[in-house]
Amino acid sequence: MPVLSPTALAGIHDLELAARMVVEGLRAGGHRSPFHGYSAEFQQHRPYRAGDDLKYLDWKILARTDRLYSRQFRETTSMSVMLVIDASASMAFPESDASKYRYAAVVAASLAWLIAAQGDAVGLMTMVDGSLAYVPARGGRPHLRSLLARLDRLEPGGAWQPVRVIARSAELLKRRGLVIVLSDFYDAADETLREMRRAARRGHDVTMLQVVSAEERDFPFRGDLEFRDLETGERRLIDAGAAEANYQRRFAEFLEQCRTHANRDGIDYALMPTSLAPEHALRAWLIRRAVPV
Amino acid sequence: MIWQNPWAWTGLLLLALPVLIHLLGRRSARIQPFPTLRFLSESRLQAVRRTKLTDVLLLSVRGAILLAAVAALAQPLRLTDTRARATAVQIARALVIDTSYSMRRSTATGETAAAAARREADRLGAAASASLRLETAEPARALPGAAAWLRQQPVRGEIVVVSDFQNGTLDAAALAAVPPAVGLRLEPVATVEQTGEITIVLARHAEVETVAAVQAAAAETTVTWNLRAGGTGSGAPELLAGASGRDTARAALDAALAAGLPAPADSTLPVSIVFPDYTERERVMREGGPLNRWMAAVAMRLQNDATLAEAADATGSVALAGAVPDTTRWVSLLRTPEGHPLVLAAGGDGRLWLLLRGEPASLISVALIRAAARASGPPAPPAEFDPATIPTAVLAGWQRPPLEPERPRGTNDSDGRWLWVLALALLGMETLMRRARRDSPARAAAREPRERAA
Repeated sequence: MPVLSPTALAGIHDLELAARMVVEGLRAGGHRSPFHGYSAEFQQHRPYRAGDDLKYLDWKILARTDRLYSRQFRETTSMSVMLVIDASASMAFPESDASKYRYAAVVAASLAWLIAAQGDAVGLMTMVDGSLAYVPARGGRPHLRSLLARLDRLEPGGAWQPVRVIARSAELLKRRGLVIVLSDFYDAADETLREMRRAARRGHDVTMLQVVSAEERDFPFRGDLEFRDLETGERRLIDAGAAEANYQRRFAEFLEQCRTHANRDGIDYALMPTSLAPEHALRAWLIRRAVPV
Repeated sequence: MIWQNPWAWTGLLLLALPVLIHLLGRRSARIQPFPTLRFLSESRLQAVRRTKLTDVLLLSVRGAILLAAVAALAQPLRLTDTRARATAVQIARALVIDTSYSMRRSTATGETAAAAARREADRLGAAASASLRLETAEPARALPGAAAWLRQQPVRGEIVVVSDFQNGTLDAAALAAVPPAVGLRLEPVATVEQTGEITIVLARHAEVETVAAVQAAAAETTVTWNLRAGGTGSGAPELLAGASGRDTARAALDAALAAGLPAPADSTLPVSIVFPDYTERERVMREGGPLNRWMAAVAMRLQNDATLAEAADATGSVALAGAVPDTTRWVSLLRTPEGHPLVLAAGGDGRLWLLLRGEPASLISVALIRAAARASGPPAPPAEFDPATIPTAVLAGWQRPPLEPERPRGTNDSDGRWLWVLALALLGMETLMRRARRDSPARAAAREPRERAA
């Protein structure tokens, strides 16, 4: 199946269709599921038989009794995943169909599709006009459709409070689950990282997907431009050509800081440039997740 | 280097235009929405100076374009040796040909002085780079116009007067109106010297002629006025009438001459009046054709003769006699009050035929004979009979060569075209420079980044 470019994908206004196309591309790879759920409960021991996975061998019994026993588990519940998406005005850049928000929405929808397809529960948390917008984590195809429709209706605008949104997401996951945050992480970066670290300490698996556009990274502007902050409306007259080098240095430092802090705090991190096809970006991240560090 | 249009240099004020565009253009910076300003440092913002000329090279090229265009509009002309020689050789001539009455006198070759003057003018005009012919009976009055025309010429100019230079033709006052830079060349046409006494008929009555006897001498001219009997009516129009009306026509001629003629008629212009009873009237009507130049002039003078017009108004349609000729070839000069043709004109056998539809004994007949006698030749003033001419030494003193013009005026020759070529080349360069500056950020934006998965 050919890989759709970000621009082509942005042209598909049906979010469900776009997500399906991305997921179909991912399935063609035939890799293992990267999500490690906490849904298995211990049931009993039985003598070890040749061919049993060694990771289920009970090493403590072996040390005490010098006998080989394998542990057996029982599936009780599915994994819960909460997708936290930044719908602030800064995500509405560039001002076209191929904005950062649209890219994040396609990635989130694809993830939701993947998670629902393997029987896990998926939910959505974001902030619209200063109030939280929440779709609880549930499984099933009807719920998935409802979540995608809600995601499709969202319009980026205004500011968001990442600390509040992430904290609420961690609280609403009833047991240990997966929290995936899609944002550019411009707003309150330090506080956001601290809140994600707190969620990780509560036992959640936290992932940070940082979405950046090519214009933000390359800064291809020249001449005198009056830059307007999409969230605050503040304006600054800048000699873009002269400011380019300093901007790129500081932007690279910011990305590196996000990555370093995430790794230090046990948070999974991935950079998602909008110039890269969502399928490629997701595949690279999922493969890396499937390989234990 | 000569600048033929120096006022164009005021256009240099336009040089301020690119600077103004540059400075004003910076104030209207494009608004660029951006996710965050946190990475755009304040120090960099303060470094943006509106008054700083950031692209001096582009500004210089734009200024050079304007400078070249203004210089081209000033029409520079570099006076090379070749151009100087060409200018020195060229000359414009205003040829004033005297056509006064005295120029009808003969030259030694037998032709009239006027014809000789025209031939000489042709020769001088052909040798000039530009020439203008002015034929006038008063050469002195033509000088200002000739000088005005010469002022518009880009090369040296001179006025050439071709005349018999009869006394009074030119004088110092008339020549003073000619600018000093304009040359004066006076070409006399020698006429056969008339010796002895010249007798001129000044006016003619039925039986008496007024005669002037002119005696030319070196220092003075003596004119003696006399009346003499025996006026024969020479110069009067030819009367073509039938046998029955011939005496009546002759009586009409006598009646016309009785009124007196203020000046002698010009017998070289043959005019015939055809009466209704003329036996060959039908042939004349058949052979009548278009009028030539002098015939048309005489016909026009007849139409403007007040006495003749009054006589026509007094003629009723009942008095009309004779058929009406083909009006496509005959011109109707006069009509009765009812609108019927009364006098018609046509040319034939080198004569002007005037077809009269009135009886020889009528008032219109007498009026037509008199008017035709007056109209067939312009009156000449008595001064035209003065045989004395302006002395050759005086003519030589009035002559002068033309001066070089201060600068070629109104010439199409200019080196400005090379400056236009330069301006166009600079314009192309400026376009390329602008395009290069505009494309560089666009290319950077369009460059497909080679992303690596995080």
